[in-house]
Order: sequence, then C-alpha cells, then structure tokens
Amino acid sequence: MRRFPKLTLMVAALGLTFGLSGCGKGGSSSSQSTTPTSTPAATAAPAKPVHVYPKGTHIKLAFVSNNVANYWNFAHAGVRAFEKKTGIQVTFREPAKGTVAEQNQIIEDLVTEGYNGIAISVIAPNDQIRTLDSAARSLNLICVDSDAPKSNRLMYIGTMNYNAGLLMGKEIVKLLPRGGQVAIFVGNLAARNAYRRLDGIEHVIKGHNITIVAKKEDNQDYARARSNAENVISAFPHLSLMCGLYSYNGALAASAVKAAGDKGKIKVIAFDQDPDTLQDITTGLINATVVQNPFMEGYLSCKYLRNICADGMKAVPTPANVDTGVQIVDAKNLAAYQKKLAKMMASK
Amino acid sequence: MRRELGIFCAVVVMCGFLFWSNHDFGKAANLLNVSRQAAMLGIFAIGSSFVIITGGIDLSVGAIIGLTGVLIAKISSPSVHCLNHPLWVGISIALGVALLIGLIQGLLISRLKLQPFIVTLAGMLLVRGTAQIITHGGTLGLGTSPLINLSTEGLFHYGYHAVLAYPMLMFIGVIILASYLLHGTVFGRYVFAIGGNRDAAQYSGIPVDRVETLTYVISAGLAGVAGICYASYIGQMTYYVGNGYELNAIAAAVIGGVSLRGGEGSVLGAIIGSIMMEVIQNGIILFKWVYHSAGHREVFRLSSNWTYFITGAVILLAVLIDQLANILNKRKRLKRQAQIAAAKQ
Repeated sequence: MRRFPKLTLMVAALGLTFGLSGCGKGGSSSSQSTTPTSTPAATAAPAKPVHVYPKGTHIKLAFVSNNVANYWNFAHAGVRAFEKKTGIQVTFREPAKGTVAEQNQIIEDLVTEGYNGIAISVIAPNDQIRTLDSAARSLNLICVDSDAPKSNRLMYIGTMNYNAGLLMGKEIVKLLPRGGQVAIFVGNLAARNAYRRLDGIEHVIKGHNITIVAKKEDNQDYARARSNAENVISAFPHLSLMCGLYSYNGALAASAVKAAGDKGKIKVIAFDQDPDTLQDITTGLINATVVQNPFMEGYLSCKYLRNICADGMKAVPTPANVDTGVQIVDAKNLAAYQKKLAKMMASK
Repeated sequence: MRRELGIFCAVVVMCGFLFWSNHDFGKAANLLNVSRQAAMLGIFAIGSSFVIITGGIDLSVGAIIGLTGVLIAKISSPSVHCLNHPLWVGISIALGVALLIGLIQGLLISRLKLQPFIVTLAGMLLVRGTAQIITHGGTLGLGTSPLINLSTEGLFHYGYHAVLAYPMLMFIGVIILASYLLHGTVFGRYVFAIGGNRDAAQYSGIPVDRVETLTYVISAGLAGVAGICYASYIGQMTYYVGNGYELNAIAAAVIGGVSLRGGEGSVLGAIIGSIMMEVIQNGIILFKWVYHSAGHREVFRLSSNWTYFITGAVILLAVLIDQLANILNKRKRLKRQAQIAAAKQ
C-alpha cells in the first residue's frame, strides 16, 4: 500500500533537495596557466592578497550575480559592452535560486577553473566571508552591487544604498510637503541594501512631520507583496505614500492603490527600472522611481578587475569604492531615460 | 462536518478579535480584499485536497501557478519579449499545459507506481525550470492586457470595489463543481475509498489508477485556474511566482480537516482553511492594541517578523484543538457504546 509519509519528512526532503541543488559548473573559458605575483594591498590592514599577472597573460574574468532578475540583464549588457571593447571574455553566472550554497558553489568552481578575477554581488555578506576569503587567496575578488566589507575583497562597485535612500527620502519630502503617513514595502528588511536604503530615508524625513507607519516584508513573494499593500491601505486609512524598496514593490503597491480607487490620494515611490514601474509612471500611478545603474556596475567591475590583474592596487581608487550613482526618474524625464535604457540594452 | 464547524468557529473568533482590535478589519474594502485573497488560495487548495484525500501529495501546484502566468504573459501580453496573441489563446494554452502536467504526473504515479512525492517534486523543478527558461530569469509584464483587470473587476459594486470579483466568482464555480464531484458522485466515493484503504478499494473493483490519475489532473487544472488569477493580481510574472504555495495549499487543506493519511476531508474544510490562512496574514497587519503610557496614547502593532511564528502557531493550535475534540468525541462514543453493551447484558 502506498501511503503519504509524514509531512515533516517531506518538508525535510524538500529542504535537502534545495540544499543540494546548484551544482552548476563554471564557465568554459580556455585555461592557461599563469604565475601571478601576489602582493598585499597597500590600503588594507591586515593585508589583502592582490594577484598581478604578467603582461600577455590570457585573463579569465567572471561576474556572479546574487540571483536571476531583470536587474542583472542590464549588468549583463554592461559586461557585454566591456567584452566588445576589450576582446576579453567574461563568464556571467547567475545563481538560479539565489541561495548562499549555490553562490558559494559557483565561487569554488570558478577558483578550481583557474579564473583570475571575480566580481560578485554577495548574497549574505557576513556568512560568506570564509568562502570569499578563500577565493581571494587564489584570485582578485571585488564586490559589486552588494558588498562584503569584512571580507578580503579588493574594492566595491555599485550603488551606495544609503545615498540612494537619501535621494528617495528627499523625493518623499518633496511629494509630502505637509507631512503624512508612509508605508515601506520590501522583500527582506534584513538585507543590507534594504536597511541601508531605509536608513537613508529615515535620516531625511526626520523633522518633516512624516511618519513611517508600516514596514512590510514579503520575502519576494509577489502576491504577498500586493496583498501586503492592500492590507496596509485597509489598516491605515490616512496613508499618504507607499514606498517600495525592491524593484517589484512599487508596481505592486501601485496596483493596490489603483484597485482601492486611491489614485492620487496615495502617492507611490519605487526603486529600480522594472518595465511595470516605468509604465505606471506614465499613467501617474507611480510618482517617481530611484534608478540604479546596473549597466555601469557590469562594465566597471570588469574594467577594474582587468586593471587590478595588470597593475595591482594602483588601479583601485582610495577609498576602494566606486559609486555608480542613482537618479530620480519621474514623468518629466521618463522618455529620455527610456531612450538611454534602450541604448544600453542594445549592447547585450 | 463537526471538524469543519470547529475550525469555522475558530475563524469566527479570530475575525471577532481582529474587529475588536481594529474596526477597519470590518470595512467592506478589507473584507473584499481578504475574500479575494482567500478565493485564489482556495481554488488550488481544493485541487490539492483531492490528491491528499487519496493519500497522495502534489508538490507541483505552486510551480504550475507560476508557469500558467508566465505562459499567459508570454503568449498574450503586448509587452516587449511577448507574442501579443489574443488572451483566450494564452489562457487556453496555459490551462492545457497545466492539465497535461497533471495527466503526466498522474500516469507516472498510478501506472508506473512511482512515489507521488518524488514525481511531483521532480515535476515542480521541471515546471519551475521551464518558466525560468521562458522568462530568461527575468520578468514578463502583462502590460495593458485586459487580464490585468480580472482580479479587481466583477459583479455588483460597493464603492470602488467589486463585491463578487472574478476570482471570487471562479472560486464559487470551483466550489460548486468540486463539491458535486467529491461529495455527490461515485468518483468522489472512490476518492475517499482509495485514501481510506487502497488495497480494499482495488479488490472491490474501483478503478484506482484512473481515479488517482484524475485527482492529479484536477489538482494541476485548478492550480492553472489559480495561476490565471495570480497573473491578473500581480501583473508581472517571474519564474518564482507561486514558490512555496504548495505548502500553503497543504496547510489550508489540513487546517480544514483534510487528513494527510488520506480518506478524510471535504471541500468545505479546504475553503475554511484557506480563509483562515488569509485572515491570519491580514490580521498580522491590521491588529493593533491601543494603550496609554505616561499620559500618551500609544498604538502597538505587530512587526512582519511575527508572520511565520503566528501563522505556524495558529495552524498548530487549530489542528490541536481539532484533534483534542476528536479524541474527546471518540472517548464519549466508546463510553456510550460500553454503556449500551452493559445495559444489554
């Protein structure tokens, strides 16, 4: 007789399956042995290993995202633009499930395959230090988009999330000149990019009679993100503005506002350049969005990796951070921004 | 019926408590939102209940929900990277694919005697992977597709809200059909018989393989219907939409008295379980406690961090109360039977 075993066993097996997944192998760039010169980075204490390769070495570079998302398509376009310009092939890897185990496996595979440099968006900065440091002993490691400052990474390239939060906060103050109630929607507030953005917002809105009445997480479940927005509209009848910290939150909050018939009454501000977000700006459901520059993250990370491999830490600015910048997109500059996006994606 | 009544009472108590805590809970807009959310969950929870009652399990429903939405967006959305065919083409193909997945899984389980857990787990990964390939790991928006209005529009309006939104109407249709199928037909009796004692069902001439296969088709088909609603509800599809929803369906069914051992359960139970799941989510946001501290009026609200804890606790509490009531009833019955036997002697 076939019987359904206990749910606990099934859930445990399900977890095991996910835990074992993500055994993908690294890219297929041709291998060439090199004898790198390892020197400690001048700017860091304790010393971070830097690997400088002799001129003429065939350099193998890789870009590792933290999940599979639209955002990374723009970064991919930046990587392709670098490839076209320099002729250096860059392996682009995306952890399908966005788990730490999967990303660690990718890093280890790239080390095994003899890569010379990796640009990585770290999923869990504090939990992956051992893996990152282990990789940094064999190759040049830089962080992009999501930083792991406690690791031996050589530099960080990406959005300064606190600054992005400041910009978003200023826009909120502009949208609510008399103050009001604000609700925050986010995938996971424990993630560094999320809480740094929130820190920036909170810093700016202080003293402007603006109160954050709800901070709702959805763990990247889109339906939950929408129902969170609906529930918050019910719970706070005097809500003035909804603020989405993850790329999908803005459009889903806007859908809830539209469904509740509160267009115009509740303002919406979003993050990133998802197509739905840009569409909602044209219809007036979203007032503005803070866009990052993933294209430059892709392009610059490859450029700096190549330069580090050739010249060591001389190629890295001090402090070792490159801000790719953020900007506000609203109804006024939307058309120009969309043109710029189309031009970027043409590189892919 | 007694089990469903117990859980229903628990839901009523929860709603009463939430209304006491925050009168906004009772506002029409909120109740209509919760009912729509419960309707979407209920559609595929009912499908999963069919499988669970036979003693099986379907882990692929969440992935099918995602794939259905992705297919509809890919085929019918006017957005970039989509094919912009008429909506009925997209919906028909998506539903057809969902039914086909259910049929294949059902046949593998019933004919090749493979474990339902393994087959539907593999199915889940394959389906999710297919959605990921179609979306290239990104998002497909529904853009200006008329489907986008399905989740909010409907019959009879109260202010800006449809009293019977289309997902709710679909849910009512599913309830009527599923209730008739499970409780009013020979097929339904077979489903219970297989879950109660598979070998006995086989020996008594019940077409076990066919019935079992059909339950997986029903489950996948209803996941497809739910997928249409979710696609409309969120308007942008990624391959991980529906991730983990299979466990929500199982939880809703189990809360409503569907036994994981098979042979027990009802459509009504799955409905009540779904309502409870969504009331919990809604309640975590709406619950508030007003108190006074140092002369100031303060409002306590629950943070999102409590969501999993409270959901888990309420599910456990609901099934514990239900099980305790069952044990007490059983004891009472045995005692009564002993008294009757003693009186006869």
